[in-house]
Amino acid sequence: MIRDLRVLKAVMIKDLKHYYRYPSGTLFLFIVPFLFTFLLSTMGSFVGGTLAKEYFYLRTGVENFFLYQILGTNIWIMAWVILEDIGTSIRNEQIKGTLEQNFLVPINKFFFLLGLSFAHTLLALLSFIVVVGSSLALVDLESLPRLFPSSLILLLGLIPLFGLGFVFSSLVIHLKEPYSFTHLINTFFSVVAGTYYPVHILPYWVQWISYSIPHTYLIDEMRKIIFSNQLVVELYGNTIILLSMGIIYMILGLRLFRFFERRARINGGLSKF
Amino acid sequence: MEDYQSFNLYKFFIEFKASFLKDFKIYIRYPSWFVSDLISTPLWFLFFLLALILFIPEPSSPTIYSIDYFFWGYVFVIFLATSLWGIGHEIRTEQLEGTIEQLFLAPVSRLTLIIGRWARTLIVDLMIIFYTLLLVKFFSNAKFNVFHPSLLLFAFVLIEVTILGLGLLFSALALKMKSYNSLTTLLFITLTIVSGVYFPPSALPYPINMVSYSLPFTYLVDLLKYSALEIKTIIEISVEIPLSFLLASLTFLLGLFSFRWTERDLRKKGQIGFH
Amino acid sequence: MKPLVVKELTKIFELREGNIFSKRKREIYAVRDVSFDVDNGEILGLLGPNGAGKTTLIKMLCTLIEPTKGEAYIKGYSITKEAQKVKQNLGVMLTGERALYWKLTGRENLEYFAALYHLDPSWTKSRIDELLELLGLKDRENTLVENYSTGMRIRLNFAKALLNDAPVLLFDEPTMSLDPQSSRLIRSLIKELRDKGKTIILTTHYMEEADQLSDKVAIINYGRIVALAKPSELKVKVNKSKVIEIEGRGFERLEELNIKGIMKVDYKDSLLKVYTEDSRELLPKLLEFLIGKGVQVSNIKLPEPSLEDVFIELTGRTLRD
Repeated sequence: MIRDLRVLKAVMIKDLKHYYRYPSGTLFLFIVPFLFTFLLSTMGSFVGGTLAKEYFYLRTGVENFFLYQILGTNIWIMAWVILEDIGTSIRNEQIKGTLEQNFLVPINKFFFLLGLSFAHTLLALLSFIVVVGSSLALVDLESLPRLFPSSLILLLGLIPLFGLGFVFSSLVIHLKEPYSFTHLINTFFSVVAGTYYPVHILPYWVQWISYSIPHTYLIDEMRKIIFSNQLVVELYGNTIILLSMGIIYMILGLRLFRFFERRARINGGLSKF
Repeated sequence: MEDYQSFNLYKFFIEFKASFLKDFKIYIRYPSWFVSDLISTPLWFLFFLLALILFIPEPSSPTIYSIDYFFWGYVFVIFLATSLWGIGHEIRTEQLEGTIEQLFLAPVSRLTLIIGRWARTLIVDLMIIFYTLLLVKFFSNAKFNVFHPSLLLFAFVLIEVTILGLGLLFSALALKMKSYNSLTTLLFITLTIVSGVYFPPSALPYPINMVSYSLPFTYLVDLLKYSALEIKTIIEISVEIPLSFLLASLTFLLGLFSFRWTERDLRKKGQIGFH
Repeated sequence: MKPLVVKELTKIFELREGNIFSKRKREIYAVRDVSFDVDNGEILGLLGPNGAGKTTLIKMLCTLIEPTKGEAYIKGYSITKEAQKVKQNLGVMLTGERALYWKLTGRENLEYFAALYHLDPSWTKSRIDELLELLGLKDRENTLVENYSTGMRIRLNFAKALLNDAPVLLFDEPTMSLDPQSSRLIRSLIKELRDKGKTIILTTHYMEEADQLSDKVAIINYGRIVALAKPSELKVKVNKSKVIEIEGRGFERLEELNIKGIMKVDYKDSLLKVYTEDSRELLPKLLEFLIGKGVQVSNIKLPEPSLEDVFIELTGRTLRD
């Protein structure tokens, strides 16, 4: 057990170093949400004219549309990066030729994905605190203490996202261009998850898809905690769904990974590309 | 730098054709990207529109700014993305894959090769724009009536000259900067904000709108929207047309100059194939 | 004027070291005052350890790097002032297999570069056919390069260098990572090209290759040419026959070999190795001594110095340093 933890720690540190040594890529997580939200807020103000704020309040029950949008952007980009990074990690190692090396060491191979997830957990938490925390501190100081319960929900919501990433990582293994696939799925998720709007404005059949991915519940619960000042215990329904999704996607991801690993050993696919 | 001095139409055509065909063949051999572009381009447009619906009382409420207004802005965004990724980023890929030195070894003008690449991206862009237009028209009440077709065509040409200039500028940047990949998204969003693509520069706070007024794209997008929708222009249309022409030409020359300068600098430092 | 003339070519790279607050400039001489020329039908082998400046020199000649000082002429055209003319007269193969488009087929790659070299369209097809045939790629011409083996990619890269039938050819490590059969093919083609009157520069890590192919060898070390001559002349210059190998019977009768000039003796089975400063001077005395002691000598060898010996003698480094 302790040996396993040591391995996990080593993988996590390796991945964190990667982010630290490519700061321009990591900065992306901290700067882009502000820029994107600024673009959308200006568009919204322009469309709604002088009554933009009122209309927005009528439709969402939230007064400050900048905060509403920056929360959406932060979670959206976070989920995007997680699915892309974890989803393409195995395929990338296969292309670079390092996958075989990693499979030569006597450890559970699933640890590579788990270690990467831990590194992402730290990054996600940090970007949430910096992006949403600083926005709350500047615009709505009273709501700042809600950052703590919402961070807990964020941590919970990351579990199904990682699970989904693991599912992806086994699915894209045979694709020559894994990024085109993750790009497409990520774009699709962004639209159906209600990143910038409540999902009930979407057609009924689309909502079915919305409610089958963790993004939707995560964004919804965060909004309720931060903007409606609801307590985590009051939102137990959402929390249970997130937890269940975490378990389901994790098991699915693990199963698929094992399946891929076995098949790769049989047909020598570890070094194929 | 005699590469740019002598111009021979026949040679230009041969080089252009070779470069265009090469890029086109490579592009179609990555069908997953084409499919991804085809589906995600209208999805992105929808993503923006859905975010904007919250700022009007009902989804069907009439606003002074129709879907057409955002569509024409989106067209420019597609072209901008092309110059950043399709042209600029591609040269970085050639550098990473080791083929760039081979291009510099051949007795050809690099400008022609980039024009060939630009032509490939233009064709794909036009296809995707047309297809998105059909989808938007099908699912919405957008009219897409064009106020002044020949002026719209003129605006398109100017935009493409600018995009080519930008493509050269970004190619130069991509050759020089190791972190070009992460820079592209930042540049893309910043330029989308300040070019007044989805709103007039007057909607931006001071002093950001001053940056807008000093960029060529602002007037080009404005001219595009005027020719399609007959909206009020930033400055008098009789001045905006020659000004746009001038700014498009200047952007092209700036791109050309920066690319030549970078090429020379890389030769000096021995970094053409460096990555 | 010879087809390839290099005059005092120098390349200095500026390095910036230190942190963002205190950057210091450091100058590194990659190539220093290099001069030589190569004639029609002549191969110049460029030998040097890693980092000696070979590739920088080649890249200056093909206009990819601008020299800091000096000049070179390819078919009379200046590499600094007439880059396009130089390129038209050059066929270049740079190291590695990543010089091609992996998403194009072998034929498509050659067609693309043929257009960039302005080959006459009526000649392009037959030229490409000829080269694909020559390099054993004809049956895989329509396969994407990503599905080629390393050897096939290198052969295609070689074909690309020959496309424009240029009078001057530069090959940077043409046989690196090739199997013996493909290496032999490339070497024989290089010889054929020389026989057709092409002017060739070849850099290589393989001494035997340089020895076999080059009419002249330039040894480059720390950016300077330390020796430039025919391989045989270089070997004579070193004259490093420092070992005498004698095969025979009866060596066990020798108790000691006490002759002036002997540095060390190795004896195993029927072979005696004697190390000395000057083998030619020692040999008569040694033979007289051995025969006097009743040794039956069946064979005598004074091994010729190899190009490798020349190289080590001149640079103090081995080729793979």
